[in-house]
Amino acid sequence: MFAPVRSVSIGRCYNSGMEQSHIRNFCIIAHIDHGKSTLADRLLEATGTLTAREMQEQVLDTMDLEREKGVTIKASAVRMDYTAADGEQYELNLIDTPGHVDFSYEVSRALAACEGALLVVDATQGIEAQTLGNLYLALDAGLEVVPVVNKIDLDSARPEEVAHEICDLLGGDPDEVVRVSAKEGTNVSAVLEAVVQQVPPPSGDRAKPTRALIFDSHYDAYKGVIAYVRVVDGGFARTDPLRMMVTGAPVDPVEIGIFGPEMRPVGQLAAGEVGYIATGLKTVRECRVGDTLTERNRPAEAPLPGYRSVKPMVFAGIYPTEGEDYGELRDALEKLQLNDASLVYVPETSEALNFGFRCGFLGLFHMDIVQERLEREYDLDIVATAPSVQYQVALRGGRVVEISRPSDLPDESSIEEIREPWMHIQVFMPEQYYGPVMELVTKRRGVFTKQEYPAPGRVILYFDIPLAEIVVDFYDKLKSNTRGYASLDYEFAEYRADKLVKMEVLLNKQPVDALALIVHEKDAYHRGQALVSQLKKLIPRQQFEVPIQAVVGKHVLSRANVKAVRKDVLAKCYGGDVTRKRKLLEKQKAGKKRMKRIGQVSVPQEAFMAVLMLEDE
Amino acid sequence: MRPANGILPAMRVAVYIHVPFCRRRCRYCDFATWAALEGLIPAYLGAVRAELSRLRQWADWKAGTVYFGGGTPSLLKGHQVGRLLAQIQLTPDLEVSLEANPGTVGRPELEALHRAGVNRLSLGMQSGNERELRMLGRAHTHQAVVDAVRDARAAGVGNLNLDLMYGLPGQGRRQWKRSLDAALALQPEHLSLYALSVEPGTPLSDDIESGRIVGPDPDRAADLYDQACEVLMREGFEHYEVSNWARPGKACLHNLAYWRNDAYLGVGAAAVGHWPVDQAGWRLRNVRHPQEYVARLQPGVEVDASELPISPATDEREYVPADWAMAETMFMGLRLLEEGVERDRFRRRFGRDAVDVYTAPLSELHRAGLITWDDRRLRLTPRAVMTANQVFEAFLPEAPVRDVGP
Ligand SMILES: Nc1nc2c(ncn2[C@@H]2O[C@H](COP(=O)(O)OP(=O)(O)OP(=O)(O)O)[C@@H](O)[C@H]2O)c(=O)[nH]1
Ligand code: SF4
Ligand SMILES: [Mg+2]
Repeated sequence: MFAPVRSVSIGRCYNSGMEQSHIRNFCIIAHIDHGKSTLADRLLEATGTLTAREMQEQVLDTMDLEREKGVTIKASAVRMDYTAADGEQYELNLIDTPGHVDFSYEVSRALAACEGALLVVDATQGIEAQTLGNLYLALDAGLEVVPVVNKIDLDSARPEEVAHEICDLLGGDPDEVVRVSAKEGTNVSAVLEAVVQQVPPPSGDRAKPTRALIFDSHYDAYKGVIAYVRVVDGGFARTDPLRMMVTGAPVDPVEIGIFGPEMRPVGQLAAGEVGYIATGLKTVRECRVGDTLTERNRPAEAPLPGYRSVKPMVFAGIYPTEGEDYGELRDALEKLQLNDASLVYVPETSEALNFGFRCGFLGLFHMDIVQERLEREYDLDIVATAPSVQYQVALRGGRVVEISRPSDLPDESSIEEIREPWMHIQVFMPEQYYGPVMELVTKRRGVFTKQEYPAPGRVILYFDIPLAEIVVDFYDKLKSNTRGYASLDYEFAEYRADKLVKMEVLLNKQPVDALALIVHEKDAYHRGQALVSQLKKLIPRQQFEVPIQAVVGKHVLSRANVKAVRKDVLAKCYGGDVTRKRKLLEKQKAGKKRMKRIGQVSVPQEAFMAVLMLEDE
Repeated sequence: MRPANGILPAMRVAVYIHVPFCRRRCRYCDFATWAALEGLIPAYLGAVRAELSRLRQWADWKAGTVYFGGGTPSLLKGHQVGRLLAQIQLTPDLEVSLEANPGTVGRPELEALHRAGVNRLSLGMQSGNERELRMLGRAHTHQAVVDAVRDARAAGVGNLNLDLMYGLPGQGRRQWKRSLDAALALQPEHLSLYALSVEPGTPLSDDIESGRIVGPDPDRAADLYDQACEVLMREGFEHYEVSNWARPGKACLHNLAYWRNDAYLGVGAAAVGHWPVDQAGWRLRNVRHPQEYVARLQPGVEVDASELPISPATDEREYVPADWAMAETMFMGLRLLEEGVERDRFRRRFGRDAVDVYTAPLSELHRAGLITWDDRRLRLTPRAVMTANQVFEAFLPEAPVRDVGP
């Protein structure tokens, strides 16, 4: 190990911050809806971080989308001051994380800023798929895990059993597992005490050259890129010249501060602490989540490990409804990526939709959220194409190409085989749903591999299944077949070859690249039928008849016609009220503007997502 | 007072007078009309006279046409109509129309109206089938229509319009033919055929939503429209506007002012006026409720001098900038199937040729076979008539028109 010889003599030592032995950095992890954000509310209250007036339910879910959907999408950090039972003052840095599987990248980044994790488990639901998924992430990151059983106020709660389930997994004494009701505030102080006693303090060296891990960021129109950091070694003040170790970009902070939970400026941040740096950077490329900030005058030897890069599961094209908004869409994606490190995108062009981007997402919910954020936060009108997984196409002659857009599939004659991603999935559920789940999975080409009984009456089924079969509505089906009791986790297994074909959709006799899809040969016929009838419902009647066809090669699988409009003319204009007429025309025109013109045909945005709406049978 | 911009001394303008009273409300009706408010009529007419006199003082204009619309203007007595007309500089050849509902007037009343100056009667026949009349909630039978026509003729009304509705729930070709035949048997000079549009909040719309009545089918309405076009052409009517047919020379002059996007005054509650100022224009809208209208026109209320024909009842004025005025001129004018948009008239008002202003949309519409033009006028092609909105849309500018307060 190198020890910088003169570090102590030239380095400044940040001692003015809270002593590291009195800092606790922890995140709250759980399966979706087990009450993380509600527990965070109680912790904020109990520590007096927010006053009763500032308080609202799931106060850390600040995005409109989070509040509307009642789901955490973004991890959020907040500093709390706490006087423990031992009479000592502690600085607690809490990060609330999302529970939905599509946002597990948020969780893994938050973990790297913490020494401990509160693992919240719903006392009725018990351990579910992301309880385990997130638990393993935390253990892999070397965190101390503190289990908490929540929602003990419910009649259906079974805190004893659930505490046992947890201890079977983590070891420890079931009687010592903290049981709380985050809703009613029962036992919240026990949680804070457990954090202080069980989560180790940070162990960075304040004398060493500064290293701060960027675990998240967002863009601010005035202060530029705001980097959220966990200071690992050293420390810095607002006036210190800094540098990104990976991109090399110099950073002269405009402001540094902590989350309280709103951004609150401070004079300095020292090792062990969590806060933010307003970098002033207006271009977003130079600041990457996972990079390490160091001092320009006394750089650290090597950056922190950073993050594994994300592997998107599904891909879709995102296009501006109006071609001229392309530049705005590009800027928006760039800025959104700062705040959503799991989003990836590259430019692409489509015959039907012109210029846009192929985007990669961690799942459909993620895709949904990205679309909504683009529309709301950036005021864009966009069209998204149906999601697709990434295929490997082995060509005759040995070359292999990867495609994530069905229309890119090369000519059949040049293809040796098409391989698709397969997943290992685990389904957690009560035993009685064994039959329906088996049936659902096998209908979608899934293969059973094994089963486990983690607790009495509960079973984990393991399957291998093509990713394409689970991206669309598998999760919803799983939920409805198990009355909401099943949960699902998955990971990539491998690529496997199968009999896959490209299905094209012709509108008014022209193939529309954005509507093409890759399907299994045996599903082609019924998917074609279903898609055509969906499109027929979605595409409004036009001035002329529009034939819709689904074809595989030269083979027409299904066809239907959207009849021409017969009558569209306003009736009487009462007493010369032209305004009313004009408003109707304006409304009609605005409606069309939200549609995409493909050849002569106006196609509503939903049509590109029609494959998602295919009803079964 | 100085004549307003764009108005020449003694210019002729179309005058619309709204009569917002009905005996009872028809099931499909969402117009500005009130039932059981007839007690207000005398006060209301006083207010209308006050508004007219205010407009009289404002500038020197002559009525080009007068139109009493409703509501049910035939609830007015001849002498009441006469007093209103006395406020307007009448010229001998002036078209004075009045909407009448069958069953509200007999021969003596019609004679009085005719003597007062009404020379064109528009009769709300709507259907020749009793079942349809009941479904629509009309307060009359077909016999009442027959009687009203007979009485109007006897009273000397030489210019008669019948309103009919098509696309009614349950209406097929046979029912529609019966209504058309019944109307033709009454030998009107003019026919207006309106497709039923189901307006939210009306009892009819409730009937449809609750499933008591099956809603109208737009494709069926299109067939019925085609059928009417054929029948009326055979009968020698000119199809001069999307919804209007007339014997040669009997087109409604008042409505032409709307379609040509000319100036018109709107008098009475909820009435709308249009006042071009150079290339732009103003749309003026009066307060909607008759009681409020009456209150606004209490003696002593004054309005500031304006280049616009406003009165104390003016509730909204909407500025229509030149590009919108042009668009409106296009989409209103194209409704006139023979006359179309006259290029000269357009050039006189806007200083530019319509064909130059709309080069791109016109060439696209022309390619699609929806519009044609020659040196004199632009017109819809016959196949574009039924889907004219799709054509009209092409002329709308990007930015919306803003509303301005009173
Ligand atoms: N009865 C009861 N309900 C609770 C308790 N804690 C949370 N809830 C409810 O459970 C639901 C989910 O709570 P959240 O705090 O949003 O859950 P979360 O784990 O943050 O959810 P995600 O962030 O979306 O994964 C809300 O309706 C809460 O009101 C509790 O102790 N008792
Ligand atoms: S007569 Fe005309 S205005 Fe009066 S209620 Fe019937 S439809 Fe409405
Ligand atoms: Mg949450």
